[in-house]
Order: sequence, then C-alpha cells, then structure tokens
Amino acid sequence: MKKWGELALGVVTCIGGYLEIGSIATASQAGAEFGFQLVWVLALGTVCLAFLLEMTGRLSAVSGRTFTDLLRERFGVRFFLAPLIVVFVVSLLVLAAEIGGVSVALQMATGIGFRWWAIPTALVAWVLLWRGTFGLVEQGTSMLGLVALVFGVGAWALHPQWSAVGAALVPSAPGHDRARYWYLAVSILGASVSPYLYLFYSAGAVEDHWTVEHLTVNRVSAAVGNLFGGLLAITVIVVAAMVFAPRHIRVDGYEQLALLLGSPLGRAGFALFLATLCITCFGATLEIALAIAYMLAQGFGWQWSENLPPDQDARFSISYTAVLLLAALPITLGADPLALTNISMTLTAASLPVTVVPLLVLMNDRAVMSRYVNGWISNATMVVIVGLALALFIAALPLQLLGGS
Amino acid sequence: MGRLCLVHDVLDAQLVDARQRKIGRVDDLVLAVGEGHPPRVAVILVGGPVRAERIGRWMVRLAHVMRALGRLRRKGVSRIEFERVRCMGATIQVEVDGDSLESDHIENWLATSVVRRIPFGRRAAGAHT
Repeated sequence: MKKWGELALGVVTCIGGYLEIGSIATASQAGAEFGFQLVWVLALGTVCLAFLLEMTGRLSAVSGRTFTDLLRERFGVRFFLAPLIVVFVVSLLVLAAEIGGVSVALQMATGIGFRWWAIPTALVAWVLLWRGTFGLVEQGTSMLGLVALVFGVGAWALHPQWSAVGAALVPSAPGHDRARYWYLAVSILGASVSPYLYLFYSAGAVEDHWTVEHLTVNRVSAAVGNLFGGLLAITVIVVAAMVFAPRHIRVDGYEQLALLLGSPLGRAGFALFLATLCITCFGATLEIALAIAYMLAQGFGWQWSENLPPDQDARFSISYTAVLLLAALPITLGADPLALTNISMTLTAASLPVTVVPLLVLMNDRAVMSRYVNGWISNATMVVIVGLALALFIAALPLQLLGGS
Repeated sequence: MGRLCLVHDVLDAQLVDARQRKIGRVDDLVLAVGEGHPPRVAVILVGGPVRAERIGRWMVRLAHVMRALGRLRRKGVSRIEFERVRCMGATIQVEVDGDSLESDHIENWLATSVVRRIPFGRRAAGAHT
C-alpha cells in the first residue's frame, strides 16, 4: 500500500513539476510561429529527461549519495569545478527567469509593474524554504502545479486535428525561418532538460532515504510522470498553434501569452493561465534555489538538509538565501522576463555536456553501482543524449545570435 | 580485510564527525615518512586553502584575494590525525567535534552570528534531529 502511495506521489511530482517558465514560453513561441511542427523536439526532450531522471534516481538509491557527491568524489576537486561553475551560473539565470514568470503573472493580475514583484516573490520563497521541510516543498508545489492540466482542457476545447499533432512527432525540416526554427528547437530542449532537475531529483532521493527497494518507484515515476508532463507541454504547443498561428501573432512579450487560454476558455481561461504561470514558476523557484544550495553544500561537504532547522546547516541555508536575493536582482532592475527566459534556456542547452558526460561514466562504474550499472538500452540512449548535448553546445551560441529575436 | 585506494576512495570523501554531522571533505592527505618504519597516512587536511592548492596557482591567488576581502584572519585549515578515523565506507567517520574545527569556523560563525538572529533560524527547544 505504501509503495502505491509513493508511486502516485512520484508520478504527480513529475507531472506537477514539468511546466515552468521555460517550457511555457518556448512551447508557445514554437506553436505561434511553426504550428505543430516542433512537437517532435518536445517529445525528444521528454524522453531524454525521463532517462536522465531515472539514472540519477538509481544512482542515489544504490549508492546512498547524490550525483554531486559522486561528481566530487569520483572526478576530484579540479574537475568538479567545471560543472559547479557552469551549473551555478546557468541555474541562477533560470531562477531569475522563474522569478520573472511569477512577477509577470502578478503584474497581469494586479496591474502593478512586474519589477515590484521580484523581491516579494523571492522573500515568500525564502520563508517557505527557511521554515518548511523537503516534503512540503516537493509535494506542495507539485500538487498545486496540477493546475497546469488546464492546458490539456484548453487544447481539447479547441478541437485540434490530433492526427496532425501526432504526425508532427516525426521530425521535419522548416519551410521558412530556418535559424529561428532551430533556435526554438534548442530552447525547447534546454527548457525540458535542465541540470537543476536531476540535481534536485538526486538530492531528493537521498532526503527521502531511497534504497534499492525504491528502484521500481523511481523507474515508473520517471517514465509515467514524464510521459504525462511531456504530453502537457505538447498541449501548450497545440493551444498556441490553434490560437496564435492563424492570427499571425508572434510571442514577443508575456502580455501575448495571457491570450492563450482566454480564447478557448474565456475569462476563466485568463485567470487559470495566470494561476498556472504563477504557481508553476513559483514551484520551480523553490526547486532551483534548493538545487543550487544542494550542489554547493554537497560539493564542499557541508552539512545539508531541507529538513534540518537552519542553524544546523548554516552555510546551506545562507546559500539558498543569497541565491534567491541575487536572482531577484535582474527583474527588479527591469530586465525583460521573456528575453531572460530565452537566453537562459539556450545556455542551459549548451551546459548539458558538462554534467551528462560524467553521468554516463558514473552509471557504468561498478564500484559505485555494483550490479545496477546501466544496461545497453540506457547506455545507447545516453550516447544519443551526449551526442545531442555536444551538438547543442556547438549550435547554441550561433543560433542565439541568428534566431534570438 | 578490504583494500582502499587513497586517491580513488579516500581523497575527496565526505567526512562525518562524532555527532554524525558533515564536516567537509578530505581535501588532502599527508604521509609521515620517517626512518625505520614505512610511510603511513598521518593526517587528513580539510579547508579552502588546501583545496585551492590542489586546483592550481590561480585558485590560490583568488582564495588569497577573497580571504583578504572577507577580512578572514584565521587559516581555515584543519588537521585531523588519521588515528581518529573510526569507520570508512561511503563516508569517513572521524572522532572529532565539528564545532572545534578550524575549517568549520565559517559554518559556526554563520550559525551563531547570522542564522540564529533571523526569526525561526534556531532549532526549536527540545527538538531532536
């Protein structure tokens, strides 16, 4: 019985945590400009994420250690510096974008400019982390995050041609704006596969004291949860394609996004869209702030746990405090939230090799994984992911310059 | 009796103190070489400056600048005698008190001078974790 509860929870966590500023923004830009055509990229990103989460979960359940612990222990402090710095910078940018997402939702709800909402958002997030426990952060945000299912309702209400959506699962070359097409493809992949997701997941497995008994829960929640999460993100493309593309509306700012669900669902759709944007971005804010603090604490061997009172792990608590304040600055200073989102998604895509390559090595290390090392399916998928990550690393910067605006 | 490789298994491993608290990682190891007996592992070193030396000269310089800017006068390096090791597994347990470690003075200072002055920063009275 307990197993089923854990399974349901794992699945819900993956679904509720799937949508956030990056996936909402990139998927609606893709739908507006290319219809259903980029659906295959989202499907690809979802499969990659499901495999990466399953592996980092298995790594932690078997070894009792987090991915970051093993990055430092197996590769040494010199090597560790590279993923530490890269993931820190990229995650900080994504965190700033998520705070921007909450702020924009609050601006549209209240009429008060988004710049004024960044610091209060960071403060509320900080209070929850300071006082709350890991279970509260993980389960609370994902339960509330289920409000995102409204995108599914919106897509269903628009009566799209589902066979056309299905056909877009097969990759196809763009008929126009090639650079923009591939730029959006890179952004979607960056939004689907973020390092903070698997760092958070792996730390969570240790916070929840996972052992090899949890391998089934891990596998099923990574597979089923991401399947539904990915489908949900695809419905964002569908809604944007049905609402924006026929009217030739390009998503240049968040104001346009507010129209997304207003078309199929009326005034309630507008309110539900704001709630979805606000809640999912806030959930991601909590997770990213924790993920950065986890990485610092685990890398340097400090005491860490979201379940301890702050004075028992002072450096860890001060880390997420400082990170939240730092990430609230760009929006407070007036940075454009959508531009910030797009840049941080491209950089996320470019940052993948530095964590994905060591993960492949760890998953085949018998000293760490004993008999739970990767099988050939996981290894083959990992090789594809590594290849994809390297291609993204090379392509991201030129595409940002060519297709960024 | 199992085998342990110093670089592979001991260097960079998580250190845990007598009260099960994480107190840093093995940043370096010192061998004692004397006449009449074979070399043996004598001391575990923990702390930022030791770590910086392993990374490279640029990091040593950067660490100097950071410590000067932060007005840190203490050395920030702990020497833990290898005899204090009680258990070696996924972590290394040592018979020391984390509060007394030089390398943990920032943690202790933050806890007493910053975190406990912020509301709800302190462990609730009577709570055991």
